[in-house]
Parts: sequence; structure tokens; C-alpha cells
Amino acid sequence: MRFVFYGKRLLSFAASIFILSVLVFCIARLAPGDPLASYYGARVERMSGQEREMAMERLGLNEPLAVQYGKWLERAVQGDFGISYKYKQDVLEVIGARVGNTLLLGGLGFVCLFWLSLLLGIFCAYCAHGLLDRIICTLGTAVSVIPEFWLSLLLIYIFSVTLRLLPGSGAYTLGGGGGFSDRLWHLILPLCAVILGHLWYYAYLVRNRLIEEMRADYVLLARAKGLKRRSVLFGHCLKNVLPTYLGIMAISVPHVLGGTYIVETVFSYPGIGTLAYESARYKDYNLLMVLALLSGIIVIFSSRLGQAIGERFDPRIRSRDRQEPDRG
Amino acid sequence: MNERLRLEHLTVTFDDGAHGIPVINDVSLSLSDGETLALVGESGCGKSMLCRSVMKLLPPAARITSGSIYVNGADITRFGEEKMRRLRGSVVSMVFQDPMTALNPALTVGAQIGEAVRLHERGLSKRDVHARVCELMELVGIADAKSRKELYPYHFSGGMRQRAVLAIALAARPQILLADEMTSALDVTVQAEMLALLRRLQKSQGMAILFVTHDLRVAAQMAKKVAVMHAGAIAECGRVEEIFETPRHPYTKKLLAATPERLKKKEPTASGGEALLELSHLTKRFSAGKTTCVRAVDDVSLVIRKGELFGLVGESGSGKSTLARLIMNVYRPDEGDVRYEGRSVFKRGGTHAEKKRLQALRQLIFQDSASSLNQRMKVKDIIAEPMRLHHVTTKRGDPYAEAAFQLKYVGLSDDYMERYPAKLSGGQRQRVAIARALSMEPQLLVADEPFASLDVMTQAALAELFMHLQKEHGFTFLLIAHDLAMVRLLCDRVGVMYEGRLVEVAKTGDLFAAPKHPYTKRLLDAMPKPW
Amino acid sequence: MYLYLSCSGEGDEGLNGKQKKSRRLERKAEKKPWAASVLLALIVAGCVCGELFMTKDPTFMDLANSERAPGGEFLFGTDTLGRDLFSMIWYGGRISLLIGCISTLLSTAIGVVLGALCGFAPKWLDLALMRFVEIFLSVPSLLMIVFLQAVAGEQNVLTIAVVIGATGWCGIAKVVRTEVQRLRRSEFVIASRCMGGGFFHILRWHLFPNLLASILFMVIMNIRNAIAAESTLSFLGLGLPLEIISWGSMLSLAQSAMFTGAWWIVFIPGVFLVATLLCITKIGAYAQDVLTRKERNV
Repeated sequence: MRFVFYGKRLLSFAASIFILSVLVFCIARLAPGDPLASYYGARVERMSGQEREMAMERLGLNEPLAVQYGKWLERAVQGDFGISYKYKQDVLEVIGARVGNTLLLGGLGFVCLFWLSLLLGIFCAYCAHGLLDRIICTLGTAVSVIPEFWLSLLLIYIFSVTLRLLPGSGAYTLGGGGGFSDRLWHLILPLCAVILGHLWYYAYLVRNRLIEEMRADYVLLARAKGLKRRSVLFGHCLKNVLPTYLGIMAISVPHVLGGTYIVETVFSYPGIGTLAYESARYKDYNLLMVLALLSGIIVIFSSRLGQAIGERFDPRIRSRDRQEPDRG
Repeated sequence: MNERLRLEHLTVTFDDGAHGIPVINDVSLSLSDGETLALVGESGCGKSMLCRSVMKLLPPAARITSGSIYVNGADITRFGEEKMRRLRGSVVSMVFQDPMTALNPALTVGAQIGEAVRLHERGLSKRDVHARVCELMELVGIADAKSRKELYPYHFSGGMRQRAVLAIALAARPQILLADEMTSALDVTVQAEMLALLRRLQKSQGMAILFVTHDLRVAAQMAKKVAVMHAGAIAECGRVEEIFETPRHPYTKKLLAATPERLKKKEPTASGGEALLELSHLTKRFSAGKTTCVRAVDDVSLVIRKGELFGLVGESGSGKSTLARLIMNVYRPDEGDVRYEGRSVFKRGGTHAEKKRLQALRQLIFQDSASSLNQRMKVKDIIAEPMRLHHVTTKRGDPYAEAAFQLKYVGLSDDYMERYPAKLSGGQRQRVAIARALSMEPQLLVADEPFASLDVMTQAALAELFMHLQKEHGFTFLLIAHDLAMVRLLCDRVGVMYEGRLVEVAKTGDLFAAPKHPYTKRLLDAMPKPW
Repeated sequence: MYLYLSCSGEGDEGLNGKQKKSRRLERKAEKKPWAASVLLALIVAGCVCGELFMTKDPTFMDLANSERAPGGEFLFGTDTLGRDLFSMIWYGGRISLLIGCISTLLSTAIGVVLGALCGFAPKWLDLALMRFVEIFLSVPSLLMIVFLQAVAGEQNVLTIAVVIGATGWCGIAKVVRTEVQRLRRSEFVIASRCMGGGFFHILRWHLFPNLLASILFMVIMNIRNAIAAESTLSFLGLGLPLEIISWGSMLSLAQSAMFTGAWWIVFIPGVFLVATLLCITKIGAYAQDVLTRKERNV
């Protein structure tokens, strides 16, 4: 029974990736410029007319879009995603060298964001409408509208250029370094930028949901039992808000990932964000397309994972598997 | 007998910024061990606020401005939050009206009852708590407590949830129980069981109960003493027989005059008119989940004659609303047919104009007036809508003039035309819905629980409107209600529905005097008797 | 005397005590965003009538005066290419706001049409379209914008507005879909159908007025997001080129400017950008507050 369930999920995941690749492929094929360049790099300029014809034949570039896609898919499954025009290397190699950095920054940022915004939201709901809450709300709104790139610039300016406390670029100190604490040191500012860019948005959501939840009828009953206000907030309201929060965080992955990319470019952090930026600048469509595909895969994977975790913990769905509703 | 609760000149005000509005105005009451005091009044009179004041769980903008509340002799208006918290649940407990929202959907029922147990009895082991939870659940009549306590509120019906709420309230053996409209949201039969349970518990536990309700008959059943509340003040207080037979306060007199038993009964219409609506073997199935299929309406056959007021009663889940919607062509039946004036409603091959005309002849009035009116349309547009749809030129020319006329006819003045539904009360909204239905001069009016969520006096006004419409204009009514007293007052014939089937149909007098089907008997027995 | 005639005036203005009280409480929370509206109006007015008080030609590159601090001739200083920042702010603001509006128009149109389609569609079509939207959304929006913009080739106001509009419709579509599905099942629509109301009648009288209210907040937020997206894009050099002045393209010189100490190039356009975004957010939040309060009253 379980296998069928997970099998279906896996199939749906694969189908989504497939459709995404079609979408991304079609967009990339609309790009102006020489399509051969993405496979032969600089050699294209030196190819004769006849060689070009043969290459186009072999790659199927003269054929209808569907066939082109088929051929691309065939090669992709074998691990051949083409060559990066700028780096003159296999696309997968180029990405592989950098994806780890992004996952580190983005992953760490997501985890911190998850816990910090939850805690901040709970805190604000606890002192709802009080002075502290109103101050935090105003500050939070102000910070949340700042575009990520400007926030990063600000952080670099204050902490790196003026105060000279933290490094303002790169993942590790050039020439030496690469050690754990060095990497961490370089991560601090970009991490702050990623977190601050989204923190208030989710904290505000938690705060509002909790405040709304506190108006529910069962809260009155809980207090009539003799429970403390704090116990009601944590023991009752939070339990109802958590499933929604998990769902919201699962949807937040593309936003956090996008924010990470921007932060990377400002900090010159060697991740796939800077890679995407460079490939756009240098019209390296092949690399850009694969990056879009990769980002989509990361997002779809995390969202499905989040869904699965949410379902495991949502009491309504869990108990529905066990019994039929009771007619008392 | 110990006096457990005493209110002396209690005043509670709502902070308006400028001046406060007194929600409770100089109220004095007392309650002793083993005694039940019924508190009667319409919505908005302050009864719920009173209960919340005793618990000191008022909304943030409300304050106790003067007077005192003595619980076991101590004035709790002076108590701080911590002291009050220790009283809640252990000395004073409260049960609320809406069982569907009173329980936390994310915790099991057992966990919620267990929480109440653990709060007031420290140092109990897990097993002890479980045992006590089972004990409480059995006390309130939830069978199979051991397995039921692991279920979530989602699995419980309304009556079961209310029992669970009662279990929570009784967990610490309180001396005072505040029952705030405890049975108002329950079906008649379930209500009767709950009231019997409450009486039993009071005998065994000896609590003092403050029973708040808007239903005078229920009040008479539950208590020997009654207090009538109006606009935040106690209008009259005394023994049940005194108040109900010889009321002194004008408000009490008005309230009593509005109960269905006291209203001027309608003259019965001559029977044997021609059939207006014929239902034959109507069946509608809904799928609930992948395998199960629910028969909302199961093989119902019925004839409604011209000019009569037909009442359809049944509890929730009996299929009355689905039947109404089938008649109105909102749903298509799976089997069976609906014939209107001899012509089938569902068969193909009528012209579009004919079909449209058919739609106009039947109008539906919904239960929830708030959701049946578009919040973003003005009243005049709402009433004029059917006229606009059918492009009829009305007697009074312009659709808006007609709308004004209909509005006046149902008892609302002209200046309601420009308002939005949000600014109207429940009774007024219901009247607008009726005006909308009437504007098409229909032959058949189907009213789906029009009295639900309305005050006693508004209900009486609406009932008189219905009687007037039928007498003066010869409308045919299909009235769907769960309030048997209202049905007895208004209807010529009554049909009883149970689980989708029509179990009995008879003339009103015959049905109430000598019910044949066992379910009808059960229903009539559960009706709260007038004093 | 018929009771129903005498009972028409239940309570003052037809509201019982409880309803009046809750109405009064909620009025307390209603704080009109005066400051935000006025500030936004000033900024927009400044951008639109910029020519009236611009001191210099914003496109003129006076290389002799490059990177001058604010003061004197150049109120806000000059940028790396010697252009007067003060004039550039008002001139460029126009472009930023214009892109915001055009792309929002596009995204609203697409969102409403697709959302309504899903709302009315049979279950299988609805599921398929929603799956497609989910996949489309899985690529981070900025990356998608960068991708589409790279594919579009040309970098001008129109292409950027179209690209941003083509990626911002998802939120509105989701809201419209949910609303349409909810409204179709609501009792007043059923009542209208009972009266004989057809598809277009229900669309015009019942769906549109309710829809407008629910998407207003999202539309305002979309304007804000579009302005932010354009500025990010131009900052990266992937949006408007340096020659076309917008707040974003002004900031594209910011990174190098930081290290030469020309803080005004970083701060001033940024402050204007953030102030505009903040005002729009406040107005949007107020709009949502008013609308949800209206629904809660019943």
C-alpha cells in the first residue's frame, strides 16, 4: 500500500520536472544568437559552412522543436547538458563546482529563516498591539520593503567598508583560508542579507495567524478551564497555526532561493546565483537554461518534501486515515 | 442551602473612546447550591456578557465599572488574574453555545479533557489522568470512552462535542456552572437528551446552574426560577409560574406574546385544492469519499396543493434543504421527477422562455440571510434583480419603484433602499430576501429555515407576515423548519423527514395529536413543553 | 395590529447592541495612511512634473564633475559619469513608476483571465492549469525574469515591463480562482440562479464587484514588486542600460561607488526607492484592512 503511495508521488515529481524542462527548453530556443555556440563554444567561429551544416544536422537544429527536445533529453539523461560558452567547459562541471556554495548559503538561510520568523512571530503575537509589538511591526515593514540588493549594499557599506568588521565579498579569503571558520566568517554578511530580506514577511504572517487564532472560540474555553494566557498561546493556538506555517514555508523556497541568488551577485559569492548573472550577461543561454531547470528542481523537491512532512504532522489528515467519522 | 453566587448592582461598560456603553446595567441576582436559575432574553441583551463577567473573561474593551460579584462570599471583582485563574474551572465553570468551534481541532478530545483534569489536580500520574478522563466521559454519556478519547473533535457530532465540553467543565467538580445557550445549536432530540443529562448531573453533583437561553420553553423545563433580561438590565425575576402566567414588566409581556403558542393562530385553509407541486420518487445521492454514497433524499413523494402552507420538519442531515434545492432546480435528481402544475420541471424540450417563466413562479428564501444577499449590492438592486432578469414591466413601472413597494409591504421603510446588507440586522435581511422573492409575484414560496438565528420577536413578526401573505394573496408555501411549535402554528399539513425519507405526512392537528411513525413520536416527545 | 409592521425598527439603525459595539471597536483600528499617501503623491508629482524644477539636464555627462558630493550646484551630488543626481531622481522615477504600472496592468489582465478560467473550468482542467502554475512558479521569479529578458534580447522599457508582467500574474490568478470558486457556491449566486440568472448576469452583478475587492490588495502589491524587480534587474545590468535612467540603473554604479566613498550614489536613489515602496505597501495594507473588515462585519 505504502509503495503505491510513494510511487505515485515519485511519478508526479518526475512528471513535473519533465514539464519544467520542456518549458525551459522552449524559452531557451527562442533566444537570438547562434545555437551552435552552446555546444561548440569558440570553435564555432572557425567552422566552415559545410562543417556548420553537418553540426546542425547532427544536433538536429534544423528539425521541429519537439524533435530537438527529444534529442536534448536523450543527451541530458546521459549527463551531457552541453558546453558553457563563457567557461568553455561542460555545463555540469561548471555548475557542480558552485552549487555547493549556494546550497550552503541558501540552506542555512532557510533554516535560520524558518526558526527566526516563527519565534519573532510568536513573540509579536504574545505582546500583540503593545508598544514593543508596534515598534517591531514598523521596523519590520520598513526592512521588508528594501530590495535585497540594496540591503546587501547597505550591509557591505556599514560592516565592511566603514567599520571594516566583516568581509564584503567572496566565500573565503583568497590565497589561504578555505577553512571552516574562514568560510563561516565570510558567510555572516550574506546570510544576514538573505534572512533579513524575508524575515518580517513570514514573521508577520505568523503573528497575524496567531492573533486571529486567539480570537477563536476554543481559546475562550481553554481560558475558562483556568489556563494561563501563555499556555493557551503555545499549547493550543500554535498547534493550529503550525500546519499552515509549514505549508507557507514550503512555498517560500523559490523566494528564498531567488533572494540568495541576488545576494550572491552583490557579494561576489561563487555560487550559481553569480553564475546565472554572468550567463545572462554573456548570453550563455545554455548555461542559463540549465540553471533555471536546476532551480526549479530544487524548489519542486523541497515543496514536495514539505508537503509530505506537513501531512505527517497534520492531525486531521493523520486520523482520517485511521477511522471514519463517528455518528454520535 | 449555601449561596454560591451573588451579583449586586453589577455594571459592565464597553469602552467607546468617548463614553462607555453599559452592556450590563445594574444587575442583581443570586444563586444557591442545587438551584437552577434560567436567564432569558434576546440576542444582544447582555446574557453572554454576564457569564463572561462572572468568569472575568471579558473582551479587552469591556470593564466592570461598578457593583460586585460574590462567589462563595468573596468579591471577585477585586481579584487579580492569578487568583481568578485558580477559580476558573474549579469553582466556576462555563459551557458555550457553539459546540463546533468550542473544541481545539488540533488536539484529541481526551487531551483536552485531560488538560482540565491536570490543571486542578496536581500530582496525578498519567494513568490516573486517563482513568479520570474516561470517568468524566462516561459521566456525560459518551459511550466507549477508552477508544473515543483518542479521536479528534472532527470525528464527533454536535451533540457529542457538547458533551465533551460539559466533561471539560465538570472536570474539577465546580460548584457553579454557567450554561450559555448550551443547547441552542443542537437538534431537538439531542437537546432533550442534553437537558435531561444536565438535570441528572445537578442532582448528583449538587451544583448551582445559571442556565442562559433565548427559548422560554426550555427555560421553563430547566428551572424553577427565571430572570428576564433586556438591554443589559433585569426586567423581571421570580418563580417560573409567576413570571410566565402573570408577567408584570412590559418587555416580559411582549416576549411572552411572541411565543408561537401564544400567537394568534391562523385559520386553516380549505383543503382539497388542485395540486401545484408533485414530487414522485425523488432521489438524490451525494458521494462522500471514494466508496461511500449518501442518499440525501431517498424516494420522496409528496403533493402540495394550491394555497396551502405545507411544513417540512426534520433534524440536521434529514435532507430537507436538499429537497428544497431539488424543487428549485438547483440540483438535478438522480431518480424521480418534479411536476409543477402538471408539467415536468426536468424534462427537456421546453422553450427557454417557458423554463425561465417556470423559474420565476417559484422562489426560494434561504436560511442564512447574510450569505443569500450579495454584500456588495444595495438593497434596491437586490430586490430589483429578479425583475431585471425577466424583463418584466411591473405594476408600478420602474423596477426601483416596485422594489420600494415590496419593501414597504414587508415592513421596511424607504430609506432602507440605499443600504448595504451589512448594515441590516438578521430580521431585516430576511425581510429583504422575502421582498426579493415577492417582487416576481410567485405562486410557490419555498422558505428554508427562515426562522433560524432570529430572535423570538422577530420570528413572531415573520410568522405573521407569512400568514398575511397566504391569506391576502393566496401564496402557496413550503416551510422547512426544525421549530415544531412554529410549524404547528403556521402550517396546514406537515411532513416529517428522517435520513432522507419522508416518514409521515398528515394534517397538522392530526400529526400533533396522534403521531403514527416512531420517529415522529420521538420528535414530539423531545419538544420542550410549555409551562 | 400586525406585529410585523410594528417590528420594523428593531434597535437603532437596525443594529442590535452587540453589532454596534463591534463596529465601534473596529473603527478604532482604521487609521488612514495619510502620511504615506501624501508622500507618495509628492514623489509621483515630482517625477511627472520633473522638468519644472530640474536644475540640470539629467542625461548630460559632465565628466569633469564626476563623483561630486551633494551640495552647491549639485543638490544630490553627481554620479560616476558626472550626471546630476537630483535631476536624475525625478527623471528616472518616471521610468521606474511607468514600468511598475505597465507590468501590473499586464499581470493583472493575465491573472484575472487565467484565474477565472480555472474557477469556471471542470475539475480536470483546473488541476492541470494549477499544476502548470506550480511548475512555472518553481523557477525563482527573478531568475525567470532574467532568463526571459535575456531571450528577449533588447533592453528597453517595454520589454522589461512585459517580461516583469509575464512573471507576476501567479498571485492574482490564485486569488481570482479561489474567489470565483467560492462565489459560484455562495448562496446569493444560487439565489440568482434560482431566479433564472444566466452566466453573464451573474458575472456582471455578482462576480465582478466581489472580485475587484479581493484583488485590489494584490494589484497594489504587484506594483510594488514590479518596481522592486525593475530596480534589481537594472542594478544587475540586465535591465535598462545605463543610458536609460531609472532608479535601478542609477544604482548599477553603486557597487564601485561604495569603494570610492561616494555614498550618495548608493544612498539617495535607494532612499527614494525604499520610500516609494514603503508608501505603496502602507496604502495596500490599509486597503486590505478595510476590505477584510467589511466582510467580517456580517
